[in-house]
Amino acid sequence: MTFTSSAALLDAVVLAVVSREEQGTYGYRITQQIKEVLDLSESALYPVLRRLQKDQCLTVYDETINGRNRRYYQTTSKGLEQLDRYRADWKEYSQKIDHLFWGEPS
Amino acid sequence: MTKYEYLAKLEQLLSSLPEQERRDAMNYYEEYFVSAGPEKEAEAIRELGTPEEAARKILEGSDAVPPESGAPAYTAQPAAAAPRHGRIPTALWVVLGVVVGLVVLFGLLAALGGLVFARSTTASTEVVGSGSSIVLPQPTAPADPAAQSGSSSSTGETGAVTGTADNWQTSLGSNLRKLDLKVNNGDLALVLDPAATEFTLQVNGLDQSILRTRADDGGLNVQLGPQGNQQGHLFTATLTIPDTGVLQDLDVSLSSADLDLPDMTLDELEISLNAGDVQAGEISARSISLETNAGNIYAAACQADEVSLETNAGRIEAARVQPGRELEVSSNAGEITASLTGTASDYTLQAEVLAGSLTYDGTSYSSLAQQLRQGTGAVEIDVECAAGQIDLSFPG
Repeated sequence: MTFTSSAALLDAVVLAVVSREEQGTYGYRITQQIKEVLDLSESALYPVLRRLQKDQCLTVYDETINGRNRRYYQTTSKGLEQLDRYRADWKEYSQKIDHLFWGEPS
Repeated sequence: MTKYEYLAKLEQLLSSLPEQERRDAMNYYEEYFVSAGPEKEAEAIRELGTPEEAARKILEGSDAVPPESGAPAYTAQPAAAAPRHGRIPTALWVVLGVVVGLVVLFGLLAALGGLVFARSTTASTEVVGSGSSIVLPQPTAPADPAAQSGSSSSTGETGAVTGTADNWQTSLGSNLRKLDLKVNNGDLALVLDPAATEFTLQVNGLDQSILRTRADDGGLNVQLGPQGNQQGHLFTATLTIPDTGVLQDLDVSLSSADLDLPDMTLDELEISLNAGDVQAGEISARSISLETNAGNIYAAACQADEVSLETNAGRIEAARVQPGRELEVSSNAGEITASLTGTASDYTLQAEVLAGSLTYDGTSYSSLAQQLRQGTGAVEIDVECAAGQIDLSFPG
């Protein structure tokens, strides 16, 4: 897998952000955290969360807050494995780019 | 657009979804606005994308057909599948466009004699032969493995399989000089048995449809593992091999699979690992090649005329390497650690180290502007290190 599609990168980033919260986190909060790093205008995260959930990388639970239903997302062990794979891919990928930017010509 | 207009429009566009899915989606968006608060309504709408955009992506991920287009929706792919298309935020696109361009350029620049980059990591196994067939060996013609295992796309009866659906065994033949194994989503252990006369495969966990074999040019092509995009290690298998020296060439490709090899003497051993763990004993051969993408390979000893250790991002560790003529060590981004027999004076080293590091006989080298040449020994060591870590030592 390479990061040649932004969809894969978005999957990886969402997985990483959700994995940081052991108790789970919810859509708005996830978006705000990612927004600090990536410009997210016009890329809704719901389809990503939904897909990760269907792929069993995330589980959900619901909590009633102020009469509304808020859905929390958590990473599964499969999701964490996938995140590890993404991390390895990214390390490899970014090292190649680092080399291009700063490496010695041979 | 107000929040209510947004939600109403979205609900309408999602009408083709099953009710529960639509309810889940609507709940997410409603709750999003609530979390944002009334003062951030406009910003929230910007963050969520237009209702049309949101609906399209949601429908793409489900089994429903989008209302406005005639194009069939596709079902959700596992995250590890091929690249998707979607609405891409401009900034992200620019960054990734540059990155993609650079990677392509890098690939072209990588004329460093065999560094492998965009290696496919999908757990693909080529379908060999005619699908789920088990080749029935014929013990009356042992001298000719081709005849023994049938024609090249044979369909055998499954009479040679004994056991239950999930716990079964079968004989693969008795005179196989060459074994080409492709294993995915399960663990395989090889066992050498001096008392065995047949190559026996025993499997626990999945049924015999995961085995496909095809006779090939003096040997056997074996595919072991479920088809399709599976996850996890779903079965364990043991392959018992007659310890008579009949097996000369062993080629194992693994994906999401573990492999256990005993001490073995062969002509040629080739292991190609995508993801998983390989443990090998002391291997003595004419040629040994250990290659990994993201998995780990550990070998107790590699003694061969030619030894090749190659990693993309995974780890290779060889506790004792004794190359007769040539050792090739190549790392893209992974780690290779090997203890070599003899001393540095037995070897001639030739190394290219770009962004990673090479530690050779205790001295570390990184970011070499030119090729490093060292030593005048008879055995050649060829090191290529793009961004990984290579450690070659001489414990003596």
